[in-house]
Amino acid sequence: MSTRVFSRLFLFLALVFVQTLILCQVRLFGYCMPLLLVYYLVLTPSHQPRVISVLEGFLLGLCMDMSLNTPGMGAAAMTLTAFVNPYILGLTAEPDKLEDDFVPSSLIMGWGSFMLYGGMLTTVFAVAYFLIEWFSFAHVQGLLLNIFGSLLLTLPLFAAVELIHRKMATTKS
Amino acid sequence: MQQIFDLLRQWSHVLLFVVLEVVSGLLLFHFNHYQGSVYLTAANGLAAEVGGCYTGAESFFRLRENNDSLTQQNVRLMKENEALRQSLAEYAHKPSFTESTVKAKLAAFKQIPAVVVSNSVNSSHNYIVINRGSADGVKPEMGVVGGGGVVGIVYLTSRHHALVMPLINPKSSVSCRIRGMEYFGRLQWDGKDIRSARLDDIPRYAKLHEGMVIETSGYSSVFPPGIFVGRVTSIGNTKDGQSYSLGVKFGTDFAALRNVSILTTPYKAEIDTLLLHAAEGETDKE
Repeated sequence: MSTRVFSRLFLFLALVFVQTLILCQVRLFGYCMPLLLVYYLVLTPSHQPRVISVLEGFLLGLCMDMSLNTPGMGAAAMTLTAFVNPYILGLTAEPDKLEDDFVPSSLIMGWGSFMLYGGMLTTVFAVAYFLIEWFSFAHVQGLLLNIFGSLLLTLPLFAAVELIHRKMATTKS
Repeated sequence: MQQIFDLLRQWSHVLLFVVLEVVSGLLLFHFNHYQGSVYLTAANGLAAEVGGCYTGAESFFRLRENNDSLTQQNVRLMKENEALRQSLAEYAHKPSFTESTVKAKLAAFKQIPAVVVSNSVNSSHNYIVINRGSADGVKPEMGVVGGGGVVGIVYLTSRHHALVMPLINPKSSVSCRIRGMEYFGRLQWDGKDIRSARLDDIPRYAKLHEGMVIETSGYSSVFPPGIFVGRVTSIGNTKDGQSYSLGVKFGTDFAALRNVSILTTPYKAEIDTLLLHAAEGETDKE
């Protein structure tokens, strides 16, 4: 139990570090921002109390906001993503797996389901975040470029990090 | 109580989610100028829209009240307008020579101004109703004059109105004379034309011509002498052929009568008393 807590704390710090210091400074073509921080929510254990998940989401968003100096923007989007996370997991994971307490990964869910799950979660976050950032439907084109550009940039990162994570897991076992 | 706690525990993540979203929203609108200003503008717009809807609904439910008020105001303004129009007509009216003469003759008499409220000219027995009655000092047998001369005699009075028997009533009989001569007779309406009557009993030796002025003789206590009545339009004979019967055109247009004056003769009571004494003396002698 405590191992899981520590590993999640480590993951939290590492992802916040990478996101705030490196990835938040990236705006490819002025629109695309890698949203690796969502990976922390992807790895939320399926039976983790939802109150803790929502709180984690809020803290993650707040950390992102502190780095970008946009208080409330990331916090609102990430809290929403953390809130809908169990529902998306329910949609993408196999029903018999949901009864067990598991940490979503490509090993358990398979690459297809895992990437779909990660992609949907990232989409929710991107839509919420960029909608709040634009705060208007007057420039739908820019908004869509932001959402899809960031999604396309984030998914390969997810795959890469998941690959590393998977290798580390197999080495341990 | 336990059930409430269970319910709160069951939905705690939703509650926390709402609270954290509210906190995020507060942070967002407070620290981000763009989002804050958009929010403020939208909130102000929404508040104005809601206020407008509320005011519109309130106005709609007050329509009946407003309608009543407007109707009352309209009636009041119409009355005021009519009164002002009448006043203006009175001030703008230039008195004719006859009117001026009648006014000058009546200057010494107390007059009660009145307005005709009902008038008939098509009946064989015409009457006029005026808006002054016993409360204003009007009594039966008082003379009524208008801008064109003699109108008639007060016949009956109520508290605020009086019935006037005009010259165009067959029962009316006013003692008249020809101006410049002392010949007099009784003016009577024959029921044919509302613009003319006949003056009988003028002696045949009188030298007459059309256009001569007929005025009150003063031989009654109702009208003072010299009040214009009309002009001679035709000269004929009475049925017995002993005297002239003159056709007289009235100075008063009874079909367009509006403002009149009631003459309060100061000496009427004295004259009536003397006549009464005279009548009593006659009966004593008999």
